[in-house]
Amino acid sequence: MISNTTPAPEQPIPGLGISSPQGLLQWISSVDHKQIGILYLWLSVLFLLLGGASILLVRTQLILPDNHFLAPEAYDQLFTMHGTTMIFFVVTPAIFGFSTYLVPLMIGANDMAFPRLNAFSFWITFFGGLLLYFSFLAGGAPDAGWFNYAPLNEYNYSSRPGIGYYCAGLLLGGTGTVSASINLIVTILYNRVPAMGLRRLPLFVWMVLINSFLVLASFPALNAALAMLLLDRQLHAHFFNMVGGGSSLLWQHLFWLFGHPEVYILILPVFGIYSEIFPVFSRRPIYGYGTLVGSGIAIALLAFGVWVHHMFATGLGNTVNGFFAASSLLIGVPTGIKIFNWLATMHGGSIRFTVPMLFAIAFLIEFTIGGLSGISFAIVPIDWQLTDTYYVVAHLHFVFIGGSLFGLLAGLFYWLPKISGRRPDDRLSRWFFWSFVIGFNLTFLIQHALGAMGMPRRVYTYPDLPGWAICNQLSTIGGYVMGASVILLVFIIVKCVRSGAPAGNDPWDANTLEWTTASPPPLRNFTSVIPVTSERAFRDFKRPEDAAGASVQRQMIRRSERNAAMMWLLIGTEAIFFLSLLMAYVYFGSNPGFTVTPSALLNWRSTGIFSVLLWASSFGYWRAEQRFRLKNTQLSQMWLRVTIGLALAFLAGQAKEYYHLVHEHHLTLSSGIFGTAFFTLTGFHGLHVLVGVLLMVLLLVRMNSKPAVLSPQVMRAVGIYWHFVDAVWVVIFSVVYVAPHVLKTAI
Amino acid sequence: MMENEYGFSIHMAIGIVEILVAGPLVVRMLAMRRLRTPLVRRLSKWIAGNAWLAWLAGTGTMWFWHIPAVHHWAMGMSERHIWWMAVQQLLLLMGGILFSWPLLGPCRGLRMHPLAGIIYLATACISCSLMGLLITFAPPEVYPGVSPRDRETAGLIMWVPGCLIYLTGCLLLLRQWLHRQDRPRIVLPKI
Repeated sequence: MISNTTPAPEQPIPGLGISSPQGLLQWISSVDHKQIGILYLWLSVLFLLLGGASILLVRTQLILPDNHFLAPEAYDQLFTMHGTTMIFFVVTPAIFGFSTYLVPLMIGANDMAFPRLNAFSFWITFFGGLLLYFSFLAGGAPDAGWFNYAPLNEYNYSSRPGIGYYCAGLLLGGTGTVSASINLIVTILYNRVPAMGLRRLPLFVWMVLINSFLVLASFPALNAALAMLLLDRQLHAHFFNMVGGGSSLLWQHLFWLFGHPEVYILILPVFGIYSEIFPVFSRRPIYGYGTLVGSGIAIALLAFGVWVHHMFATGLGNTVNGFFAASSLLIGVPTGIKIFNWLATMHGGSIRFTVPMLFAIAFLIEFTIGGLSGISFAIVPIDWQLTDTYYVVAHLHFVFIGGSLFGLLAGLFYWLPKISGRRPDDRLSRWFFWSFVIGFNLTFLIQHALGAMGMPRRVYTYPDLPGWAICNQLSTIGGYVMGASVILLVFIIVKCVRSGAPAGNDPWDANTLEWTTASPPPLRNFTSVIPVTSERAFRDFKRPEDAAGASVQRQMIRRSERNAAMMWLLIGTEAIFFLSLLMAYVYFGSNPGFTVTPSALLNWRSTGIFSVLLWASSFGYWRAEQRFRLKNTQLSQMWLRVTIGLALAFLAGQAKEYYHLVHEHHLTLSSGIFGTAFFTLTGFHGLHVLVGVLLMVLLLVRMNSKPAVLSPQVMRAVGIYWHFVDAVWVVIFSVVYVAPHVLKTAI
Repeated sequence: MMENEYGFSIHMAIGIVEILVAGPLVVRMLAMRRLRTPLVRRLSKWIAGNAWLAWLAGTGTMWFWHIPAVHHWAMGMSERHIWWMAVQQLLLLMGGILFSWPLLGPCRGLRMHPLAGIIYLATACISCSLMGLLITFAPPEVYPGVSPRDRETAGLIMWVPGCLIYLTGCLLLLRQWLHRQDRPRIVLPKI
C-alpha cells in the first residue's frame, strides 16, 4: 500500500498556517468546501473538549455519596451544558463537517452548489456555540437539561439569562444546520458528475441526502418552540405557562417532534460512514445496497411516528401509549437490517483490522447493546420504571457514543489521510482506540445497573445506599479514562497534521471518487473524473477485470434549476414552521379554549379586504416575472413596484388591525393565551411578508443597475417564496378569521 | 348518536383502508388490465401535469371528513339516509383512486418518477400524521358523542398505522426504482 517513495503532500494553497495573518484571513474568508469542512471538524473538537470538561466535573461530584464538590446550581448548569454542547455543537458539526468536506469529492464536484451559503452555515453555527457559552459570563448557563422542559425553562423558575442564551444559540445553530442541509441536497441532486446516477451514489452520500430531508422536516418544530419560549421569557407571552392558559406539555410535544428525528439525524450519516468503511476493509462489495438505502428512508419516516415514546410518563393514557409502544418496537427492524447488512458484508471477506475498522466493529457491538436497551424502553411499564434513571443515561450514551461518535472517529481515521495528506501514528491510534473503548464501557455499562437500582439522573448527589458508591466510582474512573484518551486523540490529530508520514492518494485501496484526487485535494478537486460505472467506481477503474459489463450512463442534470430547488426546500421547511405555530393556535383554541371569543374581536371583512390585496400581489409578481422573461425590463419593474405596493398595503392594514386590537380591546401578547397565539402566528407571517418585500426591492435595484446579470432563475426563486407567503396567508386567514365566524367557536 | 363504543375508530379504519388500500388496488387493477383508452390516457396526462391536485384529493379527503362540523353532519346524514353511507364510501374511494393515480396509473410513461413518488407519499404522511395528532389530542367537546378512548384510537389509527401504509408505499416505490432497467448503455472501452 504505502511505499517509502510516497511524495510529501502538497498543500492546496501556500501559506495556510494560521500563524501568519494572511493564513488566518484565508481561513476566515474561505468559501472552499474543504476548508469549511475542516473548520466544522475543529469546531467539533473544540466543543468536545468543553463539553467533556463540564461532564468530568459532574462525574467528580458523583464520585462520593453526599458530596459537596459542586453546588446544585452549578451541577444543573454543567450537565445541561454538557448535553446541549455534545448534541448541537459536537456531533452535529462533526457530521456536517464530514458531509461538507466529502460530498462534493464523492460525487465528482468541485464545490458545493452555494459556496457562500456554505460559509454562512458554518459561521452562524460557530457563533451559535459562542453565544451558548457566553451565558457563563452573562450571569449563569442554562440549567433545565438539554431538552429544557417547561415549566422549568420559564422565567418564574429560571430567571437567570441562561435559557435565553440556550434559545438564541440553538436558533443560530439550527439556522446553520437547515441552510447546510438545503445546500447539501441541492449539491447532491444537481452537482453530480453526469455519469453518476442516483443508483450509483456512494452510501454515505445517500444517507446525507436522506438526513438533510429529515433536518428540513424536523428543525422547524424546534425553531418554533424556541421562538415561543423566547416570547414567553422576554415578552411575557403564555405558550408554556399554565397560569396564563398555556400548556407545558406543548413544549414536550414540539421538542420531541424535533428531538426524536434529531436522534436519527445524528446517526443516519454515520450509518453512511460505516457503509463506506465495511466494504473497503472487508474487501467485499457492500451487501444489500438497496436495503441500506431503503432502511435509511424507513428510519427517517418512522422518526415522525414514534416520538411520543419520550412522553410515556406524562399520562397520555393507555391507548396512546399502546400505539406508540408498537411503533417504537418497529424501529428495531430497519436498524437490524442495517446491522445484518454490515455483518454480511464482512462475512467471507478478507478483513483488515485498521483503526477505522476497529471502531466500526466496536460499533456493531456497542450499538446493538444500545439498541436493545432502547427496545426495552418501548415496553411502557419498563419505561415507567426506568425513565429518568441512569438506565436512560446508559442507553443514550451507548447510542450516541457507541453509535454516532464511534462512527465519526472511524470516519476521522479513515479520511484523515485524505484531509491532511498524512497518516496518523498507527500505534498511538490503537492506544487511543483501546483506552477509549475500555473507558466508555467502564463509564456506561455499569450505569445500566445503577439505573435498575433506581438512581435518578440529574440529581446533584445521592445517599450512601448499598452498591451505589462503588458503581459511581467505577463510572467516574471510566470517565477520566475517556477524558485522557480524548487528549490523546487531539495529540494524534495535531501530530498527524504536523509531521505524519505521507499518505499518498489512495492509502486504503478504497472504492469512491475522493481517493482519485491528490491528498490533500487541490483547490479545484478534479480536472477530470474517472468513468462512474457503479457505486464503487474507483475500484472498477483499478480492476477493470472485476467490473465486466459495467457501463457509463449519462444523466441529464439541469443545473440552472438549482435556485428554484433551493427555494422549494426552503419553503418546505418554512411550511412546517408555520404548521407548528398553527397547530399551537388550534391546540390552544380548543384545549382548554380561549378566554375571549375570536369572532367578536376579529373583523374578517376588513381583514379580508387587505388580504385580497396580498393575494393580488401574487398576480402582480407573476406578471413581473413573465415580462422579465420576455426581456421587457421596463414593464417588469412596473409590475414589481405594483407588487411591492400591494404588499406594503397589506402590512399597513395589518398594522392598523394590531393598533385597533391593542388600543380598543387591550389585546396584547401577554394579555392572555389568545393574544399570545394570535400575535405570534400573524406576526411571523408579517415578518415573512417584510422579507419578501426586501427581496423584491433588491430585485428592483439589481434590475436598475445590472439587468444583464439578473437571471430568470433568481426571479423565479423569489417568486416561489412570494407565492408561498401568500398561500400561507390563505390558510391563516381561513383558520383564524373565517372559521370562528362560520363555526361560531374557535377551532 | 354513536352507541357503539368504537364507532368513530371503525369509521376511521374503513376510511383509511378505502383511501390507502382500496383506492391504490383499484388503480393497480386498471393498470394490470392495460386499460389505456384515449379517455384514460387523457386523464392520466392531465393528472401527471397536476399531481399536486391528486395529492390534495387524497389528503384533502382525509382532512375534510374529520373536520368536526363536517363529521357531525355526515354522521347525522348516514343515520337518516342509508344511501348516504354508500355515497360517502364512494367519495372516499374516489379520493383514494385519484391519490394513487400518479403513482400506479395505467399509462406507465405518465407515472411519477419513483423518487418523486417517495416525496409525494412522505409529505402526505406528514399531513396525515398532523390530522391524526389533532384528533388524538382534541378535547372531548370537539367530537360530541364520541368517547375519549374512541376518539384517541381513531386519531392514532390515522397517525401510526396510516403512516406505516405510506412507508410501505415508499419502500415499494424504492424497490421499483432500484430494479428499473437502465436506459441506453454505453459500453466502456477497455482501459
